[in-house]
Amino acid sequence: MRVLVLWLFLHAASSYGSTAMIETPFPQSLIPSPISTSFLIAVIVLVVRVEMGRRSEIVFLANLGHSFRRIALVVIGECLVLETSLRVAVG
Amino acid sequence: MANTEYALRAEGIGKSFGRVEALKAASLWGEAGKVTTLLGRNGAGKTTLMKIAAGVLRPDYGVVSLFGDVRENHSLPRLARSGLMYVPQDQLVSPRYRVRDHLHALATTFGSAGVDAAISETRIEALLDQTVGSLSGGERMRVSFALALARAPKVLIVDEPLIRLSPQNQEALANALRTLARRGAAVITSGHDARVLLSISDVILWCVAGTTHHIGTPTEALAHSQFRREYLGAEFGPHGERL
Repeated sequence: MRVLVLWLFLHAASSYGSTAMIETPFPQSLIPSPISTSFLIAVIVLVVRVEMGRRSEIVFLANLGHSFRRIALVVIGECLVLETSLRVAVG
Repeated sequence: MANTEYALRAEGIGKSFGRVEALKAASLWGEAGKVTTLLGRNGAGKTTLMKIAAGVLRPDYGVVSLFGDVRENHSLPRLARSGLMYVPQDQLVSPRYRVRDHLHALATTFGSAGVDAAISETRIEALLDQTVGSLSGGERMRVSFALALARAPKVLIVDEPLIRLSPQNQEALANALRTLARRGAAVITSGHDARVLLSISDVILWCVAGTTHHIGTPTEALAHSQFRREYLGAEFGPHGERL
């Protein structure tokens, strides 16, 4: 859920920026370039890391044997599924 | 003494943060069935040493071994899979989830065998459906201990568990630490509540200016004039009595 909300927010912001600044038509503006996509995913991973650390979730999950590397891979996987779905939807 | 006699051993640990040398050749260990307590003033390096032993921080130098196996690049998730549990000073539990959710996550990973008994021993039945964020500090620590009892770790590292707790909660949690040790866990703890901690400990380590000294048993610690003078203060007599 956290990843979905962040992903939607960042895509809405980047789409708004693309439409306003380089006049990319909607809905194509929803699809960022590969570099932008990588950047957005990195931001999502970082925000999730900070948020989980702030809420003591990292240490709890580490005590269950889950490393943040593994959690980051799950986050990246979720982002890639969302990206693929968006690209299919927009065509 | 051979390495294998220790459940956990962090030996010759050094750690600097920038120009500040937090630890220099400090050591910490835990033995099965015993409570080892790290005492020392604020800023002496206790938390840093415990974090390194638990795999939360990497040392600049030194060796950490678990059950005799030297752990290169050790980390908490890896040590946790081998039976270690770490309860940090700030808190183990996440404020946004219910107590029941934490226990469920633990039971899903390690099995539910000890969960009901842990709930009953720590008297948290009434808290199960509350989010951790709505609990008091004492209740949160009771939940952390319920998780520790349910997990039944081979090594438990718990940093300053008695801080900000009422005397009644301090006594209950101290008993929980003893219970875990009686069940065979190596318990490593720290704090400033010397009277309570000395009453439940088997081994006392004194952390001073980034290094550690093995003081011995609580009785030996109370008889250690330098330790009494420089750490415990004037209120402690040589037999633990209040002067």
